[in-house]
Formats: sequence, C-alpha cells, structure tokens
Amino acid sequence: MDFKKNGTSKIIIVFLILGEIILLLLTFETGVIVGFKKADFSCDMDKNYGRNFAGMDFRFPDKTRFDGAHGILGQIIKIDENTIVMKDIDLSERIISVAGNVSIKKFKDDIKLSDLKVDDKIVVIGSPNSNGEIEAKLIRWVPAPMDNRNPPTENNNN
Amino acid sequence: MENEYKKLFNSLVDKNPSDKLFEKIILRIGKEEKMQKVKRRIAVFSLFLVISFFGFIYSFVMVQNALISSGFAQFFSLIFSDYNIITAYWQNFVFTLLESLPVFALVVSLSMFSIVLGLFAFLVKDIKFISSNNLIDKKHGF
Repeated sequence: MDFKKNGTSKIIIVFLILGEIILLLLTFETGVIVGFKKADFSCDMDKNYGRNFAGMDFRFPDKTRFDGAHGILGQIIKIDENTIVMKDIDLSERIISVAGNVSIKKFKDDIKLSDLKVDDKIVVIGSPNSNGEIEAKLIRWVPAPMDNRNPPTENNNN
Repeated sequence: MENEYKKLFNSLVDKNPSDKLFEKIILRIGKEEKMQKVKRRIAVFSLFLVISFFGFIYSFVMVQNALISSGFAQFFSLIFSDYNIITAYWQNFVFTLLESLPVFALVVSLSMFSIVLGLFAFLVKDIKFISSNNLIDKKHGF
C-alpha cells in the first residue's frame, strides 16, 4: 500500500495510530481490571484461609500467581451441605459456595449437589465473595480424561 | 594499389563505442552488486525463516498446552454445552476466560508468527526482484 499517493493517506495513518492507541489503552485497562479482581480475591482468600480450612490438613499454598476469581477447574476433595472444597489445577484448595440459584449439570441433565462425589472433576463459573469463596452460578461435571480412567483388566472383564 | 587501399579504408565504418557505453557498464555493475546483496539477503532470510518457523510451531504447541493446563479450553467449551446459563452470567464467564488466558504463551506465539510473516514478505519481495531482473536480462540478451 502506498499511502503517499493520495491525499487521504495522512488521515488514514492518523486513524490507524489512534486506533492502535485506543486498543492498547483498552487492553491495559482490561489487564488492570482483571488483575485487580484476581488480587482482591487472593487477598480475601489469604485473610480467610485459617477460618475456611480450620482443622483440615492442608499446607498453605505457595503462590507464584493470583488465583482466578470467577472460575475454577479442578477436582472435588470435600462436599458439605452448601460448600464444595476442591483442588484446582495449581493444586491449591478452593471453596465453592453452592447457596442460592445454582445450575449443576452432568452431560445434558440437571443434577443435585448430592449427586456429585469426591474426586469428581468439575468446572465452576461464579462470582467471588468477601470470604474468599466463589459463589457458584454454574457447576459442570467433567468426564475424566481417557488416560486417567482405569484400563480394563482381566478381573474387570470377568 | 594505393588507390585500392584508400578505397578500403574509406569504406570502413567508424567503430567508436557509443557515448552511453560507460554509463551502461557502470549501471550494470551497480545492478550486479545489488543482485549479489539481495542473493546474500535471501540466503540469510531463508535460514532465519526456517528457524523462526520451527520456533512458531514450538510456541504454537506451547499455547495449546497452556490453553489446556490453564483450564481455558474447558471454560470456553461451556459456550457450546451451557449457552443459556453462560449468557445469563456472561460477565462472570468473560472474567473467567480473561483470568485463565495464557497471555505469555500467546504473546510469544503471536510474536513468532509476525516474525515468520515479516521474513516471508521480505523473502517474496527479494525473490520477485531477482526474477524480474532475470527476465529483463533475458529480454535484452545479457
């Protein structure tokens, strides 16, 4: 493209530069918002860690980055009446609040909290609260990957 | 005999080189030098293109692994399985995606991709230059 050939070239260049600046600013602002939410949630989690996990034999997580505040993928390690304790992909434990209007899905079916079992893998989407928990809006049961399933043995086949 | 010699030398055409010959030779030398430079640049760019292409493939695999290990792929797949719920809580969903996005791996991969594209564009430009000059040479019988 030879912008110098016509008179509108300078205007196009100015618009391109302005567009790139706007895009950069938007990206920066998004990063700031996401970073703030993650930092705020991690701070709440750290403050409430002792209370949330009192009596449970977990080590304090050695964090190299902030936790996601709105979604988790991981494995269930404990199920209470209104909470799920799960181990996320960073191997740190997280608490999911299952109070209120929550959709729990397994394949195409709606299931109850009691249908979930320890060691099940789930994906959770929700919003963070001030106790360092995630208030779940959607919990989806995820099938275990093929390599994690028990291969058929002779005893199983019989 | 003498008259015949005179006749012969009078009929010979003057073979003095044209005035533009010097200019043509200098131009040709300049063109050859430029061609040499372009050929060298093509060799270097080709090498860098191969290296950066493998770098891009490596970074692409890195992005794939990061998308899976960060949970981004699982979160994103909820659009297809739970569209209605996701649209109801789209803000939480968007934040989840942004939080799990493997930014570093994506930046590395996109940088490698832009390097590959840039090198490829330079290479095509240089190859076009050489091929067009070869065509001109053939046309003028060089």
